[in-house]
Amino acid sequence: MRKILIAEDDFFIRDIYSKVFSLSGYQVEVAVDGLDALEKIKAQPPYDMILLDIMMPRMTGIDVLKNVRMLNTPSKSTPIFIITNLGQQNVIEEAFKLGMDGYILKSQVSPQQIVDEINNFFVTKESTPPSTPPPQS
Amino acid sequence: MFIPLLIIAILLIIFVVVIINNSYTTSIKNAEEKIIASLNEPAIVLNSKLTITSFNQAAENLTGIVAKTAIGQHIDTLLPLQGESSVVPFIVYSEDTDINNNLRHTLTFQRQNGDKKQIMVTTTKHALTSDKTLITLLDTSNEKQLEEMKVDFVSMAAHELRTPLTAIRGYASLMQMNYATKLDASAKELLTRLIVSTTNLANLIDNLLSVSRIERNNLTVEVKPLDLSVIINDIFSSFETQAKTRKQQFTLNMPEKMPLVMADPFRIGQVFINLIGNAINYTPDSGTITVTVADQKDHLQITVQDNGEGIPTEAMSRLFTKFFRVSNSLEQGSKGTGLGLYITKSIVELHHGKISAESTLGKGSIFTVTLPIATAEQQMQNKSQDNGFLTVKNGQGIIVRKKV
Repeated sequence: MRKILIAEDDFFIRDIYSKVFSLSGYQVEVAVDGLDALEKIKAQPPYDMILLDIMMPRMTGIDVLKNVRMLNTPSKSTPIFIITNLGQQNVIEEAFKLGMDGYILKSQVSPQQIVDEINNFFVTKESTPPSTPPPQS
Repeated sequence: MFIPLLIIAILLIIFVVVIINNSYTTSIKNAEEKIIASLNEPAIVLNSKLTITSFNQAAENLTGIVAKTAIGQHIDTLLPLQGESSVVPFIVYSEDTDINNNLRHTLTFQRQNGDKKQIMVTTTKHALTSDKTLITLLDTSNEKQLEEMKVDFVSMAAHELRTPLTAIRGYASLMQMNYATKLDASAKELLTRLIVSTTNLANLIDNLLSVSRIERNNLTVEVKPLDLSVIINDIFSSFETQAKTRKQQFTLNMPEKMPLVMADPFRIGQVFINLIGNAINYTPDSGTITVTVADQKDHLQITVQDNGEGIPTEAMSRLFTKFFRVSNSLEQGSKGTGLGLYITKSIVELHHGKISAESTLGKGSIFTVTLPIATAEQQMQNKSQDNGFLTVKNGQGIIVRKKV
């Protein structure tokens, strides 16, 4: 069973994502803000996937991403998807430079489409040899 | 005896005439100054050389320049226009036109202390001496600020509405996906309507956000050389089911090989989603909708033609304006927001393209979009900028993936 960490500050959206990923057979853990996410990432064995919102109290998703990739956490090379309503190209590009694996604009995508996209990510990953260079730090 | 008397009399008459004449012009000049001075509105009088001859208290207050300094200066020295055209052509133009034909022009004026003022300048030919010009100024900074606040408020409200709406849509779609077996037919029907309504609301909010970005000149397009056939095909397929349920004949004519255009994949997608969506909505069952793409050497022309209800002639001129809806379309239910075509036009123009519409009431409409084709340099330049990621349009959302 794949273990996923979902960092989202809105109670209801967090609840929906937990439910929809649980129903699709994921083991779900949640974080209520950026700092909570980083603390869990530091303390827990590696996750198989991390989903980060950007606008969160105490620490933004971008800063969580930066820390995960730079610090020596168990999840240092875990795939990370950003799920947000911020669609600016410069934010997307910055997140890619920091080593994110995918970016989903949540306003027009249903929860099931997010699950499908993550499933799809794992299918593609398993069918291609791990040749991706390590992210720049 | 008689002749010297006559000479004296003539001299006396000349003297009196000169005096009267002089005092007459002086009194006009005084009157003019008094009138200008008594105005609550900032007012400036220029002579034929466009040099300032009168400058009232209100003008002093607005510009922060005292009359003593202002008088004798050329108007362009006094009102340095930032990146905008000079007021002079307006003055010259107003000299040639009727007195009642005032000319208005808005400019930004920077006071010496750095404060920026938005000023509406009205130039009028002087009523008494036609070689003079009267300029009145109106400080519209507050109006501008109010307008900005209004746009900011709409943007903020729309953003705040998004999160709870995402939750509502999320729960509804979760229920539909995973608990549908536990619902009876009528509950399922209600759920479907709930989802359709929340989707409409989400579109409305997205449109409001787009409009507020347009109003703030904040709507940006990230153009790159793009094969439009992929996008148009995707959008076409996404509407096929809807057209089929309404028994509409829905056709796409597209050349096999298409030149690349410089476009933002997400934004340009919105354009065709809007145009094709409108065509389907405003065409009755069993109608015909045809999308045609034609390569016209330096630009690509995309037409969306339908044989639907058409648009009344009097509505054509306002078709692309904000919040405008063709009146009879209200009977269709609350599908439209009156923002779609306004946004569509703005996006097309950001791409240096053009959009136009032709319509005959009762016979249908044709919407035509032209987009410039990418030059060889633009295509080369972009290759070096490839960031190795792929933007995928999924329904109306965006997913960005790493290129495999």
